[in-house]
Amino acid sequence: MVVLAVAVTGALMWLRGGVSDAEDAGQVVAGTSPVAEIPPGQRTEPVDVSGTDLDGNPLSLADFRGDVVVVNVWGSWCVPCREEAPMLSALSEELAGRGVSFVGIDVRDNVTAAKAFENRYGITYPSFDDPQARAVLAFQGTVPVQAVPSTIVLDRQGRVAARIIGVAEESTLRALVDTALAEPVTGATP
Amino acid sequence: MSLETERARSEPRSAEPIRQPRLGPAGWARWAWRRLTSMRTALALLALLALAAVPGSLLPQRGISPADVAGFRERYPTVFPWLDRLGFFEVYSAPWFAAVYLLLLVSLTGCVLPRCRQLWRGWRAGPPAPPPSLARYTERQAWTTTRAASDVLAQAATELRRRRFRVRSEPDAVTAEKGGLRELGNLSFHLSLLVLLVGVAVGSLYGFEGRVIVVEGAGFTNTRTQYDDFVGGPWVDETNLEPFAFTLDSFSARYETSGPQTGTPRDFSAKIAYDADLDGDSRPFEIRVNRPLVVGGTKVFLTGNGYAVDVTVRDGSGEPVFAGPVVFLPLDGNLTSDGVIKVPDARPVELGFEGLFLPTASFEDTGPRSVFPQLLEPQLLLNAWTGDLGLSSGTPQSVYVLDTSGMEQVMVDGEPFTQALRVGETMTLPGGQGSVTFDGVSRFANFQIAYDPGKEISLVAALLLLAGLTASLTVRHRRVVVRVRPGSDGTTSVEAGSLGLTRLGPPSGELARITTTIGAPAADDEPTKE
Repeated sequence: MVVLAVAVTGALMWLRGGVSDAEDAGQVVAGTSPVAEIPPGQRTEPVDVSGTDLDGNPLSLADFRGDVVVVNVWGSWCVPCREEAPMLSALSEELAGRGVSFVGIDVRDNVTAAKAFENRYGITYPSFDDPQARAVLAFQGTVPVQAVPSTIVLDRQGRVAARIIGVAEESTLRALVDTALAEPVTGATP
Repeated sequence: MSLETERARSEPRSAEPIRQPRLGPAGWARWAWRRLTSMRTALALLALLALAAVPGSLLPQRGISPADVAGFRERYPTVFPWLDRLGFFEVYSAPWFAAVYLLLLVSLTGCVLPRCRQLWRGWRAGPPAPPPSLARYTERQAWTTTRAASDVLAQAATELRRRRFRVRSEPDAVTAEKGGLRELGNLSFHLSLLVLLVGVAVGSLYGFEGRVIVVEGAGFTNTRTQYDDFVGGPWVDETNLEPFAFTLDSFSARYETSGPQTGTPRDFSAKIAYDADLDGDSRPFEIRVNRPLVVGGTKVFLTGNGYAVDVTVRDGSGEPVFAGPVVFLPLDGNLTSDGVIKVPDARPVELGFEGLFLPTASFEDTGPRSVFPQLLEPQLLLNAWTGDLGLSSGTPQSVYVLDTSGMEQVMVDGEPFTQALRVGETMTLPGGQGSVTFDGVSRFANFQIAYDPGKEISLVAALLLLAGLTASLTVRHRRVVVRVRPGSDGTTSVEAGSLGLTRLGPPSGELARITTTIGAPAADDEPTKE
């Protein structure tokens, strides 16, 4: 009886080890950035999100086709977002001339506070005003956004090429963008 | 549980001598299986399961209150790592807890399945052939009659059938049984225990429970990022929650306005518009306290409410840096609420406010408080802080608590600067550091969003359990035998007996009533009782 109980416990612990590794990948710990890259052959349809920006003007991801697009999910209430904001601001300016666009998705926020956030960190790229995380839903199925912040890199055709959950490290994001830029413009569907 | 008795009956008959051969692996396996599926093991495991759940209620659990777990770690730094390693802070997902659970499940299954088979066979076979002697029968009666044997038997069979017995007729006897429902009840009791365990397991593995606060005019979409608080089972697919969304159009509450229970809530209602599959079509619905919104398997319950204050904060440069509703959490039944406003992007300094919102303000002796939950005299009392809100450090913090460790309270004449605002009024901080305007009040509602796929299973199991237990305790399973023997002088001797097949004997007097109708001499010949 006891032996059996111990054996079952052991087996479960082993099983659980496997599960908790997977759990950790989805967990957001400040400073770590679980990164996932999707090879061109495995990418799904281009992601399309339309909505309004923080000023109420129409904004659509489709307008950025042809560019590599960095989509950042953020909120002025989100503490780790403040950590990566200066980097995103600087990188967006630096890469602007190289065919890279940045677009934010501002979730569960208050527009005035969000604009103050952008002012403070010098963020000039547009953001979707997404109080109910509807824009985030567009990524369900490819790279479900489970946490704020998250950063997604779209290739020139608008397909998800990579995802970072949690605070994005500058070197990681640069590498992901460079990879997407280096891909042939016509796409590499096998 | 039935295996014990089955074995007891079959073993002495086996041809093997008492000295047993050495057990091979198969033998050991069979031995282990029998031990595992015995009644005693099942009971021991059930007790063990109850025992294993004790630390879950004594120690703080990560899934429920991660902050308390952190507090425990600070208070008991030496024992914490050990308890943690043993899974005492996540008892219900600890391997040893699951082990007990699974063993109990296997034990019950191994117990119930053979029993099912047995019951099925017994049911199909019907009453057995009459025994050679009725000596074992608890109630017996014998008499002689001049009627023909076949007449007596035919009448006995008719009478027993009328009394809803299952009857088996033989040339010289009638055997009948009634109350097989008891066995079925007993089995259903055990089976439902098993189903209940499965239901609870399914619920805790695949179910989740989340909470969210929604202010009037705002909404909720069922994705992980939208929850304020989310506790899910280990096998919940957080990326694939039921797709739906709703907006809270309005929240209303009715309160007792007179009598000793003044201020007691009478009715809450949240009028929402929901979009069941995110296709853009919304339908109206009214969520009440016991009337959740159900979308697929996910239920949205209304669990609480309060006020959110609409404020506009301008910083030192005069720019609006915050505008919108801020949730103030209720402290008492009259909705005296407290909350904080954090304005991390104000310049030149970050601003923080903390204070009270009083729907019906009163400033008598005990200090500011609300005396009625409706908006009769709404006032917002704030004091202000400047400095570093601690939001740039990367450590997540509660939106309801102001971390003042890096801040300085705004003072006027050596006193904390405090102001009570009515709707439309503005509080201007000294030294041109900014201002806050109280624009209005909205209601918010607390929603609990729960998905428990095991709930229906558990409910059915609980009902089945109750029905089974009732049947097994009240229904008497008994057998009646009427046997005839033609005498030499043309008379017929009749012998009748009844036997309780379970601890409960046959209903008293039943045999007498049956025999009377088939011609036994009634009152003067009392049935023998043992």
